[in-house]
Amino acid sequence: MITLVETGAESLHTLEGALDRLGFLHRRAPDPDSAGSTGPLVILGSGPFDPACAALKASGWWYGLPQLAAGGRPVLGIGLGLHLLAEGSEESPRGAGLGLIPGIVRSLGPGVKLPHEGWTVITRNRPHPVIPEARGAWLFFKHAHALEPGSTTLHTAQHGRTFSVLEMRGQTLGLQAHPEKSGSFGLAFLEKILAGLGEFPAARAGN
Amino acid sequence: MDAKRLIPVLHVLEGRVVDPAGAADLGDPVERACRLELEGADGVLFVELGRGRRLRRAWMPGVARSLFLPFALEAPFQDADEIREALEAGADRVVLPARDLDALDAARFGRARITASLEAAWSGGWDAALEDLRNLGGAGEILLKAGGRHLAELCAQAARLPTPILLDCSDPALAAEALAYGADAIAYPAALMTAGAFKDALEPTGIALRR
Repeated sequence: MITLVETGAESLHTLEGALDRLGFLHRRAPDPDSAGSTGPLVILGSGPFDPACAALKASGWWYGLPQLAAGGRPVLGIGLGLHLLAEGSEESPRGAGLGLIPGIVRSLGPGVKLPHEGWTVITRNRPHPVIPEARGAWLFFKHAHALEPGSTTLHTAQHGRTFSVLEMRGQTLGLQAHPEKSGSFGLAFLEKILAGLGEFPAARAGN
Repeated sequence: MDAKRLIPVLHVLEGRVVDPAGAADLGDPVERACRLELEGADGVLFVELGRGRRLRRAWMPGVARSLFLPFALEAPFQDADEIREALEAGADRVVLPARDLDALDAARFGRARITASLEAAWSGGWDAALEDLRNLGGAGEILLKAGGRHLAELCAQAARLPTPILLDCSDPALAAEALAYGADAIAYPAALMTAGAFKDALEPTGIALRR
């Protein structure tokens, strides 16, 4: 079962609807004690970095998420969720991220319109046995900061500069795009990403 | 590569999709919005007619759970609490009149959630409109309501601003020109044509579109 980390910074309606459409079991968890014992932890976010960090600290997720990840729980960060999993963000120079994904998130500017909000084609950087190449595929993005591509980057895109779309470090993934806002392809991509973390729709898992 | 976006507009009154005059019932918001997604829309803009705060709690979460596109709500918001409710109900953005951003404490929600709507009028030039646009730093997107034969010039100058421009436009030819000159997206009445048909009409212009 997928555990949705509640940050208070994002409506979970669309992500829950997407998981329902795909047939995944899921629950909301306001704190780590509600996380159950298995299944990926998903943190979805958009908006400013600092308030989201504050919300995670207030709920105990700031300390609980790394502990659960260290114990082998898969983690997926979406949108701002990726920024929270990184080492830090230029948006908050004195703050730090959870450090589960290497790199500092930096502004996409200057010289481009911000936020980067719209549909952009993604490009595969490194192959993965489950997550598809998705050549020429469009995903929806909404962000003003992003990670530089590196050795843990699976997919990239461009907005002014090339930035990381999908990061994978062990069982921790970070996805800059919003698959739950990316139409039918987004849902299919989300399904493959979750399969990459060993999570499958309920009907299939029961077979 | 970023695509230009086509955003169909649905008018809502008392929880039902209606024509812009609010006279004809055109169906359920969830069904209409999902159909727009199938037709190739890049997002949806809901424009609420009248005060629909109570009923919004009924239809918006249904849209949020069924529509896998970004969507925004333009409504006569009275205060910051009403804005917060709309965002919690699933709207990705709320559209507020530019003149009301401070009064509605829009800054607390962040640029990513606020679209400022601005009506621009040609007055022998666009200087006044551009000055207004430059002062909208608190909004992460601008819904520009303008028209006329000088529109391309406005879009070209507005394109130099760091904030994306969503142009309210029901004329496909004018929309093509506006996109070519720098508008990032077009908001148009959903009844005008399907997003797929609109993109077919724009394709010969070479404008980058999600197909």
